[in-house]
Order: sequence, then structure tokens, then C-alpha cells
Amino acid sequence: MNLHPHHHHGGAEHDHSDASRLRLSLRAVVGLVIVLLVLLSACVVLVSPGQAIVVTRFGNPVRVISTPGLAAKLPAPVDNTVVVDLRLRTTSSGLHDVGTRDGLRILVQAYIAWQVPDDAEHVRQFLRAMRNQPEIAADQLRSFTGSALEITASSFDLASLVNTDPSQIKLDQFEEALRRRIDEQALKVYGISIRQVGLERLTLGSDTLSATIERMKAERETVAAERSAQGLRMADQIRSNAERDSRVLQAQAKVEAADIEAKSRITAAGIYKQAYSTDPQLYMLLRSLDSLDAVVNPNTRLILRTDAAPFRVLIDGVGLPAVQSSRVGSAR
Amino acid sequence: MSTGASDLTEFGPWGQAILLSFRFLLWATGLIAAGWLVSDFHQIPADSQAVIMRFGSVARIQGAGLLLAWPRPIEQVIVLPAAARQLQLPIRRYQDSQTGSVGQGFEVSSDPRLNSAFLLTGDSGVVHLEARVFYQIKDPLAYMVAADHVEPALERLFLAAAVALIASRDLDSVLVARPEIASEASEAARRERLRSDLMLAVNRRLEDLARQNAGLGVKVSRVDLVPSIPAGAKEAFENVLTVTQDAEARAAVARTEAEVTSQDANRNKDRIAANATAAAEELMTTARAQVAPIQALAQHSGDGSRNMQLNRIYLDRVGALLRKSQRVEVVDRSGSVRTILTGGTP
Repeated sequence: MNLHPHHHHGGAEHDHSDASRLRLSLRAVVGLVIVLLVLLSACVVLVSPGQAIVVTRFGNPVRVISTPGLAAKLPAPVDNTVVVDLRLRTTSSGLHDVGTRDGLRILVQAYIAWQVPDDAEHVRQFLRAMRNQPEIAADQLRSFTGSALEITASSFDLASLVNTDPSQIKLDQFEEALRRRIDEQALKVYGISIRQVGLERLTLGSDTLSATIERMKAERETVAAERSAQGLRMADQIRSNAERDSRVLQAQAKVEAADIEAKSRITAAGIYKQAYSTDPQLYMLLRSLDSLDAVVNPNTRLILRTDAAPFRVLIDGVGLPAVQSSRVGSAR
Repeated sequence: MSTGASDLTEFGPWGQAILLSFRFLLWATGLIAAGWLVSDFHQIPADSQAVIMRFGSVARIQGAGLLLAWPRPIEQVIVLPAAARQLQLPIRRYQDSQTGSVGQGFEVSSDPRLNSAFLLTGDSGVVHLEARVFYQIKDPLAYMVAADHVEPALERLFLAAAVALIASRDLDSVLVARPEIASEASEAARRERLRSDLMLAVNRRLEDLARQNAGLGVKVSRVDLVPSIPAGAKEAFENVLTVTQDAEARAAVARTEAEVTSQDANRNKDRIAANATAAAEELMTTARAQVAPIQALAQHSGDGSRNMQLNRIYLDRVGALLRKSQRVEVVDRSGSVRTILTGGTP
């Protein structure tokens, strides 16, 4: 190891050997430290958060360490370590066709959030039952959840899962019932704790789903028809109201017109009456003539006696003129 | 190195070669050791934070800047997104194998596994969802531990929260579907609350896990949701709006017609009233005209010429009357004399 045994231009011979001895011992110390570190590393195990270390002595699990940090163990052939993942995992049950209490078929899919609990007993149980393989655990939990879903769903009505009244909804109870059912078994058999269960799908079969959409469509078509009919009815009503109002208005106008006419007739009659009372003879003459004037028209034939005025003049010559009634006939 | 060079001559060629190799190894080892010592010096960007683990347990959490840490296996540095960074998670389950678009509506597949995005509403309807979740790191240690389990778990938590929430609401508290219901104030308020309700529901589930020391270390800060009516029913839903508009248009036309009718009626009324007033005026004017001569003559009553005037009036009027008629026949009282006078124009 000594690479520089001689120094020709160095000091005394013993000085030279002292320095070389010091270097040798320093190197020995460094080498020893490295060897000790190697031995120490074989006796130390590093525990990360989210995992547990199972220390096995000749294959038998003797200790479970889950506190993050360094821990001691015996070196390799005596003690070995197995790392167990304690992290939360989620597994889906897959889509299951289940029956509800009221006899309806629905499709449900649940997820389960699970983990190996942070205690020695369950970590060992998981190691034994699942051979420390989360994929196998997930697979078994999936099938277990499927059957638990069937049983749990059969004690709930569809109306308690899907409802507009929040007080009727029992989805929380459904999830809790499902969790309890799986958790009890999973902890006992697999050493797995179910932290949360949720219904990630709650639906109907494709045909039923399509039929539901058809029903929504039909409902809207009914509403459309109602709206259309309402529109027509409203339009008709507006028109008929307007016509009725119009007729009423015109009838009132006619009543008022008749009233005006009647009043005017009364006034006219008053005028005539006043005239009559002023001079009845003159009034009668003029009114008679007015009447005749109204009756006689260009198609009228008048046949009169010769002794009636004014034709009497034709026969009698100059006589005493007098107003006499004349016979009037009319013909077309 | 002059001493070294003089030393080397003592070992002969093989000794020299070995000596040089050892020196090279020493230098190389020294360099590697130096590299190892500074291997955990990091520069942490502004959008990140670092968790420093010493022998497996958390030593400290550091924000942006230069990070000096002991090399592995003493310390381990894990760089995570900063607490303020908005991480987004598109809900892939809703996007898988869907056919259609928001405008046209999405179609139901014959394979129920592909119908994840169709959710049942509380009023036995079906609504299609598209969603995106935004989340932040709340507990760096838990997030670091959960690592790649975070997003699948968060997606499942969201799906369950959405199923539960939509199942307790009617269609119109999810999206505007039926104008007659959707316009109610309570529905509008519930629609506005939908996204925040969903966010709270997912956070409740996250907190439930955290309480059991199984937290994912995240909290949801926002949920973006695009609900739509499935393709089969979409047209019918929209048709109601069209029909409603048509009905309103028809009513508007009817109102116009009604107005025209009303105006006509008013005009008629005015006309009738005007006619009646005019007729009445005429009647009275005629009466006054007819009695005017009487009044005039009556003032001369007692006058000797009254009879003569009467006769005169009589003759004037009778003459006019006879002229007006087509023909006037005069017969003798005994019937022997018959005079025919032609009247006015036949």
C-alpha cells in the first residue's frame, strides 16, 4: 500500500519511517471505517412513509416497522426485510346488474378505497393472505364488492337512490352498508381496511336508458303540443274577444243613435205641436201638402174629380174659391 | 512531481504502470465522491416545492429557491407542485368512446360500459356530463405518499359525488331544460350552486379519507361542468321552445287583428253616432223649416188677406205637386167628362 517508501532528499531515516507509519495507520482507520459502514448498512433498514417493513428471521416474520426512519436488524442471512405498501388504493367493482328491493334492475359500479392498516397484525395478515401483492388483493376485492353490491342493493328501493326529495335519498346509507359488509370480511380475511366506498355509477341498461330518453322526448312533445294548442286557443280567444267587444261597441252605438233619433223626433214633434197650436188650420193645410209632397213622385198617376179644386175651375169658371179636400189616388 | 518522477524509476516499468493506475483511480473516486456530495443540490422553480426526507422521515418542506441537501441515502429530495398551483384532471371516464357533441347531443351506446357520462337525475331523467376538476396540494406529505394513486382516486371520488348529487336533483337544477320549470328562482339558484356543491361533495370525501390517515393530500378548488341533454331527446326539448315562440307569434298576430277589429268598431261607432246626430239635426231642421211658414203666417192672423194667402199657398203647392206626378187624370163626378193632363216627365 505504501506508494512512497523512499524520499532521497527527505530528512533523517527515522523521521521517514515515522511518517510512513502514520500514513499507514491513517489508511487502516479509513479502511476500517468503510468496513464498519458496510457492516452497519447491513444492520440498518430505511422505512419510508407509506410503507411498512416486515423483518423476517429465517423466513419467519418477527417484527413490523412502520414508523418512517432508520431501524436496526441483523445482517442478511439472518434477518431479511419485506416492504409492504400501506398506501391508499382505489379499486372498482366493475359494472354490475343488480336488483333493487322494489324489483327493478339497475347497473351499479362501486369503488372501494382500501389500504393495509398501519398495525403489525394486519400487515402480517396481508403478507400471509395476499403474498404482499396488491394486484391480487384488488382482484379479490373486486369480486367481493360485486357480490356485496348485489346483496346491499336488494335492501334499497330505487326511489331511495334516485329522488328529487333529498330527504328520501339514502345513497349515504347504501355506501355505508356496502362498506361495512366488505370491511368486516376484508379485515379478517385479507388484513385490508376499507376506508371509503362510493357509487361511481348508478345507471340503467342501454335499452332502458334509451327508453328513458324516449320518455323524456315524449314528455316534451306533449308539452310542445300543449303549448301549440294553448297558443291557438289564446289567439282565438283574443280574436273572439275583440269581435265581441266590437259588436258590443257597435250595438251600444246603435242604441245611442236610436236614442238621439228618438230625442230628435220628440223635439221635432214639439216644434210641430207648437206650430199647430199657433195656427191649426194653416198647420193642417201645410202638413197635408207636405204629406202629399212626400207621397207623390214622378211615377205617380193622380186621378181627380172635375168638381174638386183646382179643376173645378175648368167646369165652374170663376166661382167662390175654397179649400176643399181632394181625393188622391196613386198608381204606378 | 519531480520527487514522484524520481520515485517511479525505482519500481521498474510494471510498478510504474500499477502506480499510475492507482493514482488515476484515487482521483476518479475523489471526483465521484465530490459529485455525490453535491448531488442533492437543487434549484426549485417558483411553481414547485420540495419535500426533504432524512432517512425516510420528513425533515423539512422548502419552497422555491436553491436547495442544499445531503446526498442520498442520507437525504432525499422530492419535488412537488407548489400549493398554489392549479392542477387539472379531466374526467376521462366521461370522455371515453362518446359519440356526439354538446351542440348535437351525445348518443347512448349499446354497451352500458361506455355510457358512463349519462347520469340519472332525481326526476328519472338522463343527463350527459363532461367535467374537469381543478385541485391543489393541501398536504405535501400525503400527496407525496399517495403519488400516482392521487388522480385515479380523485376521479373516482368525483364520479361518486356526481352520481349522488345528480340523483338528488331534477333535470332543471342541473341545466336549463324545461322553461316552465327552469325559470323558477329556486331552480336557478340550485343550478348556480351545482358546481360548488359538487366541489364540496368531493372535498367531503377527501376529508373523510384524511380523517382516517389515508388522505390524498389534495383539495378540489374548482369543478368545470358541461351538462347536456342526450341526443335522442335534445330536439324535443328544443322544439318546445320553437313551439312556444310560434304560439307567442300567433298570439301577437291575433292581438294585431284584434286591434284592427277594435279600431274598425270604434270607427263604426263614431260613424253611427255621427249619422244619428246628423239625422236628428236634419229631422229637426226639416221640422223647423216646415213650421217656419206657419210661424210667419201666424203673425199675420186676423189680417183680411189671410184666406187669400192660404189659397195662394194651396194653389202653389198643389201646382208643384201635380207637376211632380207622372200624369194627372180628371174625371167628372158623373163620369161623363174626362180630362187627361200630362204631368211632369214620366
